Amino acid sequence: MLVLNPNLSIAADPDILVLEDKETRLTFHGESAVACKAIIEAAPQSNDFETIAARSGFSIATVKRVAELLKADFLAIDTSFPGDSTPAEYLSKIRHCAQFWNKHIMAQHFASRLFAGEATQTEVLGWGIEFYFFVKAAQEYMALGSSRTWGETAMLAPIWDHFAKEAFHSDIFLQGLLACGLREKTIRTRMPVPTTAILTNFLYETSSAGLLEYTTLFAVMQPLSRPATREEVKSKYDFLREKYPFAIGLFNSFESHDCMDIALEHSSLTLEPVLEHRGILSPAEWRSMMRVLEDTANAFILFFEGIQKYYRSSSALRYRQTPNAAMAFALSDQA
Amino acid sequence: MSIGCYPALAYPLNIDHAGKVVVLSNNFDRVRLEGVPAEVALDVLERLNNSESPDDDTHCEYRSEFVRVLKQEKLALDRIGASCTGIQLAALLKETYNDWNQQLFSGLLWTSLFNGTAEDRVVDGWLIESYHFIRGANARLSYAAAQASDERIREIFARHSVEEYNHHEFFAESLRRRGFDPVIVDRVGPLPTTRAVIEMARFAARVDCLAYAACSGLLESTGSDVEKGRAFYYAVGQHFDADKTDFVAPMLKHLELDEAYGHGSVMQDVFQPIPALSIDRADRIIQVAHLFKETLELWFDDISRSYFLRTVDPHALRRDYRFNPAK
Repeated sequence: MLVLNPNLSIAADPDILVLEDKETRLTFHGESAVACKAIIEAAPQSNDFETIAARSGFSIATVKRVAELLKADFLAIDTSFPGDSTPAEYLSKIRHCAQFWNKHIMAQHFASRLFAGEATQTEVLGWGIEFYFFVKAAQEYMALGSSRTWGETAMLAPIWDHFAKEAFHSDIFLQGLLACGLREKTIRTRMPVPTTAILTNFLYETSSAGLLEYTTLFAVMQPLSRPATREEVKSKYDFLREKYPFAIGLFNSFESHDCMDIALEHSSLTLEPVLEHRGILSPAEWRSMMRVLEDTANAFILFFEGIQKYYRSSSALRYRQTPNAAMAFALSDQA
Repeated sequence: MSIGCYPALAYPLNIDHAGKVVVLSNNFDRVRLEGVPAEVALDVLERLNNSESPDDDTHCEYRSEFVRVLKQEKLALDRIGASCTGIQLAALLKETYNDWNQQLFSGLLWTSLFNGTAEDRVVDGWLIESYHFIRGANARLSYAAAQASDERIREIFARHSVEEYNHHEFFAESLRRRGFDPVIVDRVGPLPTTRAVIEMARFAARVDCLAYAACSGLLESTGSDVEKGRAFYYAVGQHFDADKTDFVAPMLKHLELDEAYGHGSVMQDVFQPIPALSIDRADRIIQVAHLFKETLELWFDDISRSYFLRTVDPHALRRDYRFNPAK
């Protein structure tokens, strides 16, 4: 299936077609504009390139040529089953799709503002609080995902190892939040906002689905195919520290966590040994992995939207009312 | 320090802090805290919300006076015991559902469906997501039964599940009457927030079977007022059935079947025989139910938003979520 970048804007005149996202602009003229437009319109109703060709009235070769153009700039991905492939070929395709979905997350309004240095103080610290809950959820979903012994130890050991190394990383972010002046008790006793709970529930459910699904989760979270360098990490957080000086402690925590990930080589995915040991995948397994990539992106989109929605007033950092049952007594007194 | 030592804030209690004055509000009152420095008021509220002592070394006179006023205004309550009965908690939940339902159903989705101002594509979306949600009873109720550690409660959940498992067929028929093939609807799948509601219910079932019962009670409380339900479906039929397909009729049948089963009393059936619940457990139950109610709010808003932006293509095999509307 050819999946178009959801952020794509499409401007069509009779002879010109312009496809554009935040980073790329492609212009098609004449016959190629007509072909591209027809192919884009047929894609959502088509499971494969043959159907796109039939619906659009263009040859499969033309459909494939247009698809390659779009894929090169992450304006589309091809999620169709690659058939008998090597683990490296599967992985390369998964990486491409994961980067595509990661870009979709980062193109959303709040994520764009946050990393451009345009978020409010409440939003930045609120993001820190909810990120803490997300990292803490590793004690549930990664514990669940790694709680498997059915299969070869060489395949499973990196998965066990991954959880063991991540299990207590939430403490790093907690320290960062405390350095920004938030109180530990307030963070530990509050409930996450519902959009964070939606994300952590999704991670939990997907972790229980199967080993392929569990390990696919991390592809969207860690889309880089090569580890970032310490200099790149420092430069990223220097920018954010400069933009958000009230959150220096929090970004120090992010930086030290990212550097730990570099040392632990977390840009290599635990999916890799799973693919190595599985060999040939079935079409159903592939579809399920593609579904996990997209669903993971959607869950993170909701996570970011929640920061913007629930962290408007500065009091939200200190007070998210925790409902309690004390009223039960008052009601029975009235009765 | 035990959680019962300090007064608990009345629920709900909202804080509005703009400028130097803190304003507290609930469903009935709005109180401007003129006499207390905002920083002290916020600190006391933060601590009480954390079940901590409101005291600190600073501004002692303000703190104790502020707590006294909170209690006097019934914005803070002494915790009377370390436990409550199932009957007490059920009564509290029932009372809380009234407030929550008021909030949930006063939003854009439900008012626009009722008064006829919704776009047709939003009506389609509401129907599609309702079908997914009702189908999702199989992911909620049977899971809750499987997770329940109490045999009596497990049996109630199992019975409820068996009485609900095939109710999606009513909604599938409504879909067909409105021109949608349920097979394609299945293939596209639900909105992420529809899935989130189902997964939040499953989360509740993992936390505590009573937390699940509290969430389920909220859902059933919305369907148990059959007269309101009939009036709603009648209005939807009047406003949005130009082709006279009578697509609301199967949903109306579903409403009546639920009434015949008496699902509105499941929450009470679960809670009433429980002689004592620790206050910590009771707090946790209502917290999870609150999170569930917030998720329902997000879901309703998301249906309005997602389907307002694009007409449903009945032949599309997938959906874009949070796409560029200019596409």
